[in-house]
Amino acid sequence: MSVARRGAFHPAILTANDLASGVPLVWTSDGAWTRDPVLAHLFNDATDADAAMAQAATQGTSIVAPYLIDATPAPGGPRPTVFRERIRLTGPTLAPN
Amino acid sequence: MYAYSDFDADFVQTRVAQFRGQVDRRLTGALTEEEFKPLRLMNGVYLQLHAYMLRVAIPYGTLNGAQMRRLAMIADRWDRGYGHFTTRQNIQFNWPGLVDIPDMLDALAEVGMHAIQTSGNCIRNVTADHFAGAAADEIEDPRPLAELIRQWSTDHPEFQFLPRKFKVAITGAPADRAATRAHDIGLRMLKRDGAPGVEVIIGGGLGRTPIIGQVLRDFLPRADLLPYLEAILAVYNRHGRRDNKYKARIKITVLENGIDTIRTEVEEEFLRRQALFSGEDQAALAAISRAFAAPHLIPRDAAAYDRALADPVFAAWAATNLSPHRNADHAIVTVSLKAPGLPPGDATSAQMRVLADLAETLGHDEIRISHEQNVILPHVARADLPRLHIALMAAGLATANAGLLSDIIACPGMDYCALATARSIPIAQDIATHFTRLGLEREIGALKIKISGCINACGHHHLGHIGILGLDRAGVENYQITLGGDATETAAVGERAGPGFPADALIPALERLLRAYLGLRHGPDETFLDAFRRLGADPFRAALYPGEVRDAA
Repeated sequence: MSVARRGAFHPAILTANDLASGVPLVWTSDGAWTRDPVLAHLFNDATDADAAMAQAATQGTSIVAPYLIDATPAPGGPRPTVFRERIRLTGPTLAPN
Repeated sequence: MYAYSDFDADFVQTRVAQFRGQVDRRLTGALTEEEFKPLRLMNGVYLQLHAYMLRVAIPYGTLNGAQMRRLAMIADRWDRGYGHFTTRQNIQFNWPGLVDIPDMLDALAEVGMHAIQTSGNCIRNVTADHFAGAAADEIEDPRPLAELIRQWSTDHPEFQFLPRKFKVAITGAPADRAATRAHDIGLRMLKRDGAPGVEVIIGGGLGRTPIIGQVLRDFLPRADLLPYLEAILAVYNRHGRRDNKYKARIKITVLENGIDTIRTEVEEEFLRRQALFSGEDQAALAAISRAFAAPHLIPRDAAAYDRALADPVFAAWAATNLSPHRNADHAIVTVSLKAPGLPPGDATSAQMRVLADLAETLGHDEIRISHEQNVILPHVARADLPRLHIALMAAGLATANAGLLSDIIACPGMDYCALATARSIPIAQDIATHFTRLGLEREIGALKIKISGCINACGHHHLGHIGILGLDRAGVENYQITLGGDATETAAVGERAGPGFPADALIPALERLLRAYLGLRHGPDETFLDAFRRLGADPFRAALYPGEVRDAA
């Protein structure tokens, strides 16, 4: 799902799903994808974020549906502001059966 | 039960091979995601929050031991050792890799199963009464007609790109266990002057505009079913809204055009369609019906069952989880997948294997999945029930709560689903755990709680005696309560009680509501729904919102 981003830029992380497995990924400061949300790079600048999005858009054989999600700095890595995205990155909240 | 013909087997295997090629082309980049998405959806593959999800059809909820065992194998080999049974008699695997899905579909095809038309704007899996072929009140087994509809609708060229998805449910009993009035088409089998037919209901549905279906034809001769269904679909294809997906279901088509106009057009179209049918459908139905011949049930002495009733644990389970079979020395067993504290509708691979074994040894190799997310063993001799109960207990499958408070329908919600606005499963877990701990469940008696994690209403919340709808209110999960819904032959859409509750206030609110019911009811025989119908919403609203300044009027 892409999120329309209008108006002032808010700090954000870049996410996508891995094409082969479907697992959610985040973009790191090294310009790579990882499954570990702790390593997500927090973009504070629209130009940098747009450049990373443009690069992600060329990676259609490895990832699906890249988009930016608003996040805030937090100990242990950027924290998405929307609870849906927090659940998406960290997994189901129910106890495994 | 129906076994695939050579045609069916070839058809399904060909579809898997086709999809395997599509997956390969997607992985190499020959297909873009935009091109691939409609192709994967046609094969039941969604991209959810944490992974892909594969939705497999269990046509009219019927499967055998070998098929259940195959679902267990798939769960172990390509998923995380469990599956989730849904309100549309499907099973969903929550963690498959895209690269593995063609192999999963091949494994399904080997046992006569598939994921075709479990998504997309087409005729979806036809659902049926989960007690079909066994219930004491049944007029006729609806599954032959359901299978006929499955064959007719699969890849039907005229109905692959409908304005929106299309759901058909069928029952052969006067007690409606298939929620026929909440479907695009609901079919209720009848007899008139000894002749078989169906009552045709259209325009029911839930979602953001919940509507109880209306009778389009009160008696349609059974032989006319397919041309009549074609006529309905053709009229829907003609008038259904394609400009707005929220107005695209047939319920809106009926609402906007009026049932009388729709009826006139359907009847005109029906005459044209009927002339095109030359009897092949009836020959096919006759062959299908033979495949659904009832199992040969040998009369059995039920003394062992009567003796076992002295055991309070067995007696409690028997009181809730057994339903009358047409043979009094047999019973229909509801195996609850609602152990308090666990996700409703989930079964582990080990549990699936136990169910397969029990079906084969004690249940004439028949298993059903109910839209209430439980597993049914439809033909078990009462003499074998004590033995069955012991085996179920060992597998964590003997929860004695069918039809009670903790037998909750819940959609996957935001723990899995990309569409969800709030979580469902943890709410269901908390409700079941809380009221079980209070020890009020049996005192409260028959109660249907249904939870959806978004307005699309996969958890049928509108039809719950108590419905719960999870929404996102400014970034916080909020739960609206509806009261008085009913999925049966006395179908009703629940009334919204008032403002929603944050998650931590929901359970105290439900406790106030249910304690109020216990105080208001005439006695244990007056169910929550009966009391609500007698008293109206006001006393229940007062319990939910005790601090509210009430209108003096």
